[in-house]
Amino acid sequence: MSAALFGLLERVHGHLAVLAVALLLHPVITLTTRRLLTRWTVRSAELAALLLGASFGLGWFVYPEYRGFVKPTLLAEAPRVAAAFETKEHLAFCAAALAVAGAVTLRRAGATDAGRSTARALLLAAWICAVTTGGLGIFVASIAQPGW
Amino acid sequence: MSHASDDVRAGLAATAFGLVAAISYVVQRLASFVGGEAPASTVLMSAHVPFFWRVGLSCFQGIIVAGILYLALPRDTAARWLPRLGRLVLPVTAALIAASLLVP
Repeated sequence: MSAALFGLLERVHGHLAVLAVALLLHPVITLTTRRLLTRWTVRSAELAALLLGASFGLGWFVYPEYRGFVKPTLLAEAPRVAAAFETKEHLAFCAAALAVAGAVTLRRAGATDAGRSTARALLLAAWICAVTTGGLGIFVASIAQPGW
Repeated sequence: MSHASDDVRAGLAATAFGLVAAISYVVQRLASFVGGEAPASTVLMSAHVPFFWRVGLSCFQGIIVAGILYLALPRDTAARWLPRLGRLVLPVTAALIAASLLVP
């Protein structure tokens, strides 16, 4: 993979994640403020989970390049940034798993109060993990550029 | 409300998947930290990438637990367990975030 392609995919990965984080707020807010479940609440939860999954998948795809060409220098010269990346990958997986679980719970059990409140908790947890991941991602990306 | 069903068994299974997968991932990382994982600087070019293994195992365990719960639990039990599991989500997530920050 060329450095240019790596840079492009890494940016698309980040932008998809930002979109997913913004979209995740919609079901979290509407499940908190409305008693009735609307079609768009379910759809936005599913779209957010899909976007988060796509972002995670893209991160997975470029990970070998990061590991081979960015991480060695990062570990040697900025170990704290490398550690932040490790935390980012843990929380990214948690965010994706919780978002998928929240979207499926909302779709399959959203007609019940327990289903809606559990889905809200899962989506909120995914959002918190995703925001933390995003913050760490911005921090890492500000230092670990392609060709760094 | 035709856009969402009241299948609490599926809801419980999905919730269990999310929690088990996330917990499994962080516990595997902590176990690697305690048990000793090869330093990243020595395995950079190896085919063994802990991140990929952890993600794969976590998803596998989450799917297995979700499948067992979905097939084994009657609807009444699932309806009782779903809100209890829902109440665990945020405290467990807080613990997972703390563990991930403390042990990168």
